[in-house]
Amino acid sequence: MSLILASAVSIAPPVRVGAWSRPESPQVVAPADIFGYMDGAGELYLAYRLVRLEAYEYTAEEEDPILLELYRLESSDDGYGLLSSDWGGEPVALDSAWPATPPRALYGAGLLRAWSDDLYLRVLATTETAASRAAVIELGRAVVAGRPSPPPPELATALPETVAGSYQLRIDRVTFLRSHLVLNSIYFLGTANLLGLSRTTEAVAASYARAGAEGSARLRVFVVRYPTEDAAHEALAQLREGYLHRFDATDAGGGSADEWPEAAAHRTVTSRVEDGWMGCRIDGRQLVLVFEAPDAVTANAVLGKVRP
Amino acid sequence: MGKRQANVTRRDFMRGTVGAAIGVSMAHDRAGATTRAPRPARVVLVRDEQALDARHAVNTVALTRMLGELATRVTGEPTAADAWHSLVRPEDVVGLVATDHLNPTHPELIDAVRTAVVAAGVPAQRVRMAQGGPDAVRPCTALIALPALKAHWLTGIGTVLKNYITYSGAPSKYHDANNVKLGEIWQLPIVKGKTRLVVVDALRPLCDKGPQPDPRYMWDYRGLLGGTDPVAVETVCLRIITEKRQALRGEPWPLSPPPLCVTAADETYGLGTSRWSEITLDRVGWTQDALV
Repeated sequence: MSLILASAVSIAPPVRVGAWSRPESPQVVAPADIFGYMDGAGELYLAYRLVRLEAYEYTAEEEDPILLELYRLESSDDGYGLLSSDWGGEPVALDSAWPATPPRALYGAGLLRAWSDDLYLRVLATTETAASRAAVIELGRAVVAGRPSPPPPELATALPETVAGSYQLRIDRVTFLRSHLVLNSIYFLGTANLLGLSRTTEAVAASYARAGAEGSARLRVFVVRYPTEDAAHEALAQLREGYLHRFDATDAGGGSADEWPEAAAHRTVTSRVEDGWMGCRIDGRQLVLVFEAPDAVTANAVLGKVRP
Repeated sequence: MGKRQANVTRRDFMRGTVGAAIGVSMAHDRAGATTRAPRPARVVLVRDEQALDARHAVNTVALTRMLGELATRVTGEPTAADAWHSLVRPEDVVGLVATDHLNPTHPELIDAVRTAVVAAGVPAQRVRMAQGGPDAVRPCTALIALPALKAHWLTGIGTVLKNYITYSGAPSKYHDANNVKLGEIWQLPIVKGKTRLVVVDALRPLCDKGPQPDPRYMWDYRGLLGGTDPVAVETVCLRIITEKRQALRGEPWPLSPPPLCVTAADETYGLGTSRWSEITLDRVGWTQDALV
């Protein structure tokens, strides 16, 4: 960790922006101290492999403060993951070299969030005014200038745009994650870590909606990539024990709950639960799951389409 | 206390078997859902359009009026002074339990409550800020819970029940999966039976989970919620947040994780009711965009 910390060279944001100016040095927060800085919220940044946080408070005589937080993470994928937890807001092109999609910076109501390689920025104006908005965006531009802009995680871009005929990917509901706490904040599966997510796994959670249909006509799709095939099988066994075996699951002609780990290794398996049909498929070290399908046919079609 | 890791799944939540999943012995029907006697509860919602100005600053005159109205309606007493006299006694040591994280309780509300308690005859030196560890609550004979209305990324909602988490002496035991057990903190001997009133600061709530404050999800609701049943008050809070989320997105946007701690506080710990059908909501004042 000390090597990582040593290599995490501080970024020097502008000393002044508009009427605001910053102190000479940032408040530096190590992962072990994150709860002291932000209480339980620190879990989120640990889940995205925080290396260190640098925070500056910009102050001005006649204006409320602006807080600049620079979260250095282990990889660009982690930075993307943090931004992907909420695609809401107004896209802002902080750097003209950035690809057009997906957005890498989003602004709303005084808060700018941005992903820049292994850096996640959060710039918050205590009170939004025209001047504070300009200052917030200027700070964002200054921090990302000249930094690399790697592509999003492969898992997030490999999702098919359409599944099961008429279900279309909601691009504003695609989240990259590594933690069951983050998963539960998007889609609650269980208080236990049923999918065996960890710092060494990669996962994407996505929603698909049927074109022209109202609210409930949607599917949830998760793709998890484990370090090894064994880890993927262990996760599936855990899901069976923790999720399916708690209650009776109805066999859909694709294997009963008892058969899940074994059968899923070779083919698609589906079961009916309280909110529709769930299904699973293992391809090597990758696990694909679908929830809330209206029937087994749809679940199978989804699992057949979402492949490594 | 909180040592056994809870394992509650989405399926438990949909089936109404959260209590059984926690493993606490309660009466259950054949499907595993908890059965219990009805627990009627009353929750008061007071709103005033003048409570905040355009920059979200508190109008203390309006706030004091709202607080008096709330106390009167909760207690059924004829005046605000009578209401506070019925809630606290001069010999009490009164703890004001405000929130200082994420969406802090407005200090103007804390001051208004303190003023009312002192006016009811409790010496000022026996009215204390009681947020903190067990030592903060132990000397108190009466508590006024003063959380601010907010969603929470680990518990779904982080308002009433979570307000006492530090009284456990080990808040981390209630993080992650065990947040479903937050209700048991209210049953600790140093806490149980001391809460005379719950007043939720709903002047400017936060409807998404954070984990840090995001101004896009804060809005001027200009309200106070109150009652003596913490679970019922939390249930109304939940309804407001849920409705606001749906209004923002124009489609259902359920809290995730679901507020398991609220269901468990009812079904497992018997703290109050989370059943909407058992709650009488008394609405006072400004009605625009009330959401409930």
